[in-house]
Amino acid sequence: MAPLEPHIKVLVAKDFLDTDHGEIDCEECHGGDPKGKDMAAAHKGMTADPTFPDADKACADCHEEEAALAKTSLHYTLATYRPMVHKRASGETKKLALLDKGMDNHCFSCHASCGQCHVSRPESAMGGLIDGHKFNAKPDQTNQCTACHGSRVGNEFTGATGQGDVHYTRHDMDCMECHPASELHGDGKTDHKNRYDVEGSPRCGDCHEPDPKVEQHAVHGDKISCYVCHSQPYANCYACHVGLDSKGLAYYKNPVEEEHLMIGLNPNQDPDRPEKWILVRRVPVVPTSFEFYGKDLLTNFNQANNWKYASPHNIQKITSQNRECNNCHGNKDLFLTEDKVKPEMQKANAPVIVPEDQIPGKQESQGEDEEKAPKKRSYF
Amino acid sequence: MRRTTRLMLVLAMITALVPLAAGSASAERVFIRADQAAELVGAPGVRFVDCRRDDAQYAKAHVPGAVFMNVNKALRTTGAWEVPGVRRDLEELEELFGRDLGIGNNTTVLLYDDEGYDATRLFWELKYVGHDKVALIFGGWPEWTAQNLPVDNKTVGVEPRNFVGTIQPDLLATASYIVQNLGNPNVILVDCRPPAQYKGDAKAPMAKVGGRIPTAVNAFTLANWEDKTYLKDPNELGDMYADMGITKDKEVICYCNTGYYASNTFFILKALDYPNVRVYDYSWAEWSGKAFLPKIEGTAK
Repeated sequence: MAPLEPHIKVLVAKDFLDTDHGEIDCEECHGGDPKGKDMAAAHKGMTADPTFPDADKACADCHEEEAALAKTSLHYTLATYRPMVHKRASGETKKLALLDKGMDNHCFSCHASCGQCHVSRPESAMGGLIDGHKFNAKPDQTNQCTACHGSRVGNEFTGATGQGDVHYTRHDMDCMECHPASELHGDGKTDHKNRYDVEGSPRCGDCHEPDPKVEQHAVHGDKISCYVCHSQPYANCYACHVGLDSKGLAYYKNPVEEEHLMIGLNPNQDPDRPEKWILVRRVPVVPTSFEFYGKDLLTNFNQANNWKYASPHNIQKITSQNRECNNCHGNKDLFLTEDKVKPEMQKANAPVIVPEDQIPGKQESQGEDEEKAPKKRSYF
Repeated sequence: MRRTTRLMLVLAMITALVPLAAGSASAERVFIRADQAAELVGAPGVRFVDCRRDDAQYAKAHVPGAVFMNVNKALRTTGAWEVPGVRRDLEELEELFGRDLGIGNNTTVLLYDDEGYDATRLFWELKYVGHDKVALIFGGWPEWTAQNLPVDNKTVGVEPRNFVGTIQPDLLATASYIVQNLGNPNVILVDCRPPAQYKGDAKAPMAKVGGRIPTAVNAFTLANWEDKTYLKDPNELGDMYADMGITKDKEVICYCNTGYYASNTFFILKALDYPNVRVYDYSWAEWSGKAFLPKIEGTAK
């Protein structure tokens, strides 16, 4: 996204001073010494974002519950990253330290503090005030949510790639409609298994009952995740490499990205997600992702699967999958079969790989249906 | 191929590309298969136009005999009220098509590109000045090379031809025409831009504000292509447009920021046999800058 204009980034609007937050003296949140004789003295101990790493300091006096919860939210802690990367890592202490340094420069730069959801652009998107320092109860989808969740989810949701998500394109819903504060502020847990393991995480069924008039709903029941039939192809990144450039700025290089849709087996069926068939996507990490920081840092790469549960944010009512039964049935291209996974990764991905004999077979069409079906158009 | 056979094939192709008669039930064909087009390389009365953006790529390899046009640069100019990227005057177009591209009024023009929306702009411009014999190679340059069809890098000598254009007003919409028809149930406005621009959450640099024309429905044109140059299945697209109320019994007015994406949707709808389609060439770049025109504005300023 385009950076904010420099004057906008630092502008404190006059009408901010009339708000509750505006009545608080700057130094109470930001530190520094307004009585300082020069800039150095005045700025001593000052912090641009007083809400990170300790949300309590600036916010708890008035927002005690939110500040306490926020410190456990995955936006704040990114807590699920390290265990997963360490699972693939070499066990050597020195190498782990190098890996952690890389993660601090890259993965953990994406944390979102209170201020980065309610006042400014996130740090990873170059920061800057978005509304004259006013505190907005609802984060801004363009300047905050998709500033971080931009290249994949943001683009798919808003239709920068594909047709967009009908929740956004037709029904004017933004991120917060499905991901309210009650979810994003954290659930108090500190042992999340993954990003879906958050209380209050949205489900399609929270708002939608499957239309009983649609035969496919009755036939498939809860065997198939809604995403399988209602998503469009989504981005899969294959080979992310991180490092620092000559000026010490962090870079992320991903040379291979493919848009496709892949059906896999659900390795974690439970009452919340009972479906057998889910969508999976290839996650960007490869054994050499952190090579900039050291050789052979991820020697146990194959200890975790790299095709993961996917929840594409590009929902459409009618898709290629649900237009005709045989667009999925008998269509091996849509299923994550063994031949699509590198041999060294097949064991790790075994729980999600679909054996070919399990691919649902082609549906035989009834003669009468063929007569009733409208004549197919062609360009030629 | 024997000359006689080739001439017969050319005649067959040309006939297939244009309506048999005015008001005929046969739809015009806007696509030609790459392998069929390959049969027409070197045929008299046929002109291939390479609409890729990078002339260096053209110099490296192109369809034998194809002339190059950077459509975005060559065809577009700044119009009234400093609106950028709009069509040139008829006189300029006649010269561009006739002298620079060597297209005469009877020339069959076959277009290809690699980005998926340059050739369709030239398609509309040719139709707008009354030239019917034009089609796109399905799959464009990627398909041509995928099929290993002949290419070369020879400089193409263009013999200038006399091109007489006749403006087709039914293919164009102006702001006034749209204002007159806002609320007309027989007319539907299609905003061909990305959804974020339609909603006004984002805006293109030439737009004054983010937003859209009231009553417009949104169908981002580039989402209808796979791998940029392969138009999606016509049954799927037909259902999609119909679901949105963009039906063949209506007059469809396509707009975007400067008419480029709108031309792309014009092409798509023609591929789907829509009879009445216009392009609002000045588009949102004009509309957003005029305070007296109704708008649904978003947050992008």
